[in-house]
Amino acid sequence: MSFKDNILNEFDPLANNNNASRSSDSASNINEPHKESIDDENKKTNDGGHIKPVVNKNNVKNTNKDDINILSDIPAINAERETETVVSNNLKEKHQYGDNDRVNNADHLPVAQINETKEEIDSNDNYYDFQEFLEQFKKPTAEPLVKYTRSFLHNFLTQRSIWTTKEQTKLINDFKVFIFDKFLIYEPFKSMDKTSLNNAQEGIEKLIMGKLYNNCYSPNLKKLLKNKLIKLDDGHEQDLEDDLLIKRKFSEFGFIKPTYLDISFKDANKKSNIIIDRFINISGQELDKINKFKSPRDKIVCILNSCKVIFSILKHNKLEQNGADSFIPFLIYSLLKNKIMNLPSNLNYIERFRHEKFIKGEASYYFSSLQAAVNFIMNMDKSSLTIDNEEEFDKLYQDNQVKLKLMTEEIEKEKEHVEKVRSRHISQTSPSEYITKPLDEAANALAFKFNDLISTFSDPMHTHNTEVSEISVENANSEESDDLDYIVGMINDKENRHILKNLTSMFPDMLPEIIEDICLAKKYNLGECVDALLSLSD
Amino acid sequence: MLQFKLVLLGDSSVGKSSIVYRFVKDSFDEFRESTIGAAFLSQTITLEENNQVIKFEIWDTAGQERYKSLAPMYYRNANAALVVYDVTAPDSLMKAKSWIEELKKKVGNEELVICLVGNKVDICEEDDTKRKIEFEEAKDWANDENLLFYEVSAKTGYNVKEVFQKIGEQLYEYKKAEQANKGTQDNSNITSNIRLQEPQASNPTSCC
Repeated sequence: MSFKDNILNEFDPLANNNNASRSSDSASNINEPHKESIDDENKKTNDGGHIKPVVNKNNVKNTNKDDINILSDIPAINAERETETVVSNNLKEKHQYGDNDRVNNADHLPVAQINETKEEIDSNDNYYDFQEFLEQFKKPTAEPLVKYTRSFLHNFLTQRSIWTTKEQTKLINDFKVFIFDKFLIYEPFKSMDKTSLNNAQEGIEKLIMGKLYNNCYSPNLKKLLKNKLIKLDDGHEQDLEDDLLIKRKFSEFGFIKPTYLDISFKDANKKSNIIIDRFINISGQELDKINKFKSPRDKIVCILNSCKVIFSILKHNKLEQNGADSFIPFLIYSLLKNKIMNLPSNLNYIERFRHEKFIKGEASYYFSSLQAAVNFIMNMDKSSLTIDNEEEFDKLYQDNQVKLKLMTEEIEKEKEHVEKVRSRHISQTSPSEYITKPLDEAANALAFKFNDLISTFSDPMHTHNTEVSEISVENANSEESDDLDYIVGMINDKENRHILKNLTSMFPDMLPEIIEDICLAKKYNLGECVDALLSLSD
Repeated sequence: MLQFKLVLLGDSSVGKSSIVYRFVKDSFDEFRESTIGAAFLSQTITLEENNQVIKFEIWDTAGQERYKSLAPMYYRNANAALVVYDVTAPDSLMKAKSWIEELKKKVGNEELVICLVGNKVDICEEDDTKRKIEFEEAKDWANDENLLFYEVSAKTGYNVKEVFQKIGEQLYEYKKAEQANKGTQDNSNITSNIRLQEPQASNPTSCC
């Protein structure tokens, strides 16, 4: 039985070892123009023409007749996919008349590799447009690929309620190798140049990881299994233990001063300290977005942007020539101050599910640095620090311990209080609860749509979705609750204002008008703006 | 074009980052842009002998003793290592030697190109009494250990380009031999992209 039959019928993901060794990047070297007009493509879609629906429910049901538990999972996948299609078209329309033409802008490159865009010998590995990939994926000629993917996703989600981390890594990697090979057989991928093929490979990774996120990212998997009363496997459990460990270390050592980590700068005065704190804060905001994105690539971009902000601290303080001697301590300091949740889980997730061919260059350096810094903090104790004045350190440490204890007590009290209120509430079960419920559901559904839209379709540089749920909830109550474009626009505006504000505070000597001009030119991509402003201030 | 990962190791005051800064600044090439990041730099060179283009991705590490434990995260999958000491500081050669021992033990790559570099020779030129490590002493040790060896000055640029040329040549030789070993089954041109990243087996963020 060929692998093709295998995957379509009784796909046993663990059995497909024979595909693992195939080369995945034997790319064709045909140099044809890689970029079709997405706008044209989009019109075709909207005209309801010849593009097949992405998901064929009957097909899925037929091929998996014998599976247990199909129905609970598959419709969910379908619904999600359909939502995506609708939402993405909306998003595009928005972009067609908006002046921030991000999604369709072929020139727009991720900050990760802007420095390499002039590389002439290599193909442009850094070109990235998920929308374009989806359009290609939807073409009739690519239908077998859609089937393979759907079948893989279905089997992954239904064959077992839990895979170990090792199994997951292998299954997903094997599937990528398999589908990368299939790209060479089916149009429109078959005749693509290297750059577009690379984009398609990125696209498929993002697509499947978006679907499998809740089963692969340890904190979400835990929530998922809690409802089914299934125990986590050791690998995922370890991620969560590490998350907890680093959380404790963040609290224990959150008070430390830069000097404890060998951070020193020439004119350490109050003003420069305030500026540094501001930068540290912004780098934290960027890194925090790692928890808002599902695809490994998007998460890496969050890391990269955060590190770019730290680099600008070094530049401002003329420390950049010290390289890693300065960078690593600042990175660790930033982590301790910002206390971002679930970093170990995120890093392991990226390590497991980012295809190895994409782990390279500057982004890879910062990824490894973050891994190293996280390890350092997990093992941190007094001996990890440079302590000139032991007495002072001990006092700060003790004060912090007292503060932590008080905080824990307060949280406990709060919990008790909440419990009490809740139990009273339940016993009274006011009718109003039922009346408000549908509204909440509408809000949730909308929030879900947006989470999905943003985490699946956009780059971390483009959207700031901390505010997503707030905004969507606000709007769910208004008559415009279904006006997705409006909300997308609001999110963009809000995010842009936020970036402008951050940059103005990072570069106080620069004229605000200049900063705004650069933001416009760089399409409000924080990493690129920082690079441009730094070179200006040189 | 061939692409290689080079890791920089050495004590914090030996000026390892300065050597790379000097290298990247002096190798200005109007056709190819280099990257100067916080601690990551990339630079292409052309081998004099055969015009082979080589791109270095340079990974800097923190030299402070307390961050020593982070180094494995940086040197995994490296193709080359530049281990730097300061010719005016005797301790720094000791540290360089311990890095080299660690590299040989931990990096399971027999073709890892290691180059030992003594920096700050400009200081000795001004005042020879400042020199604490003799050229011959370090050179002999490097020979015994089968390493490349140079004395350089990041300040004046002395020998900096040569270091990277030499490392590039050595890497190219290894690559060529590897291709030859593969024999006829793989006819791919040596200049085509070669995958250098190896799968990462270890799970680096779990602490135990």
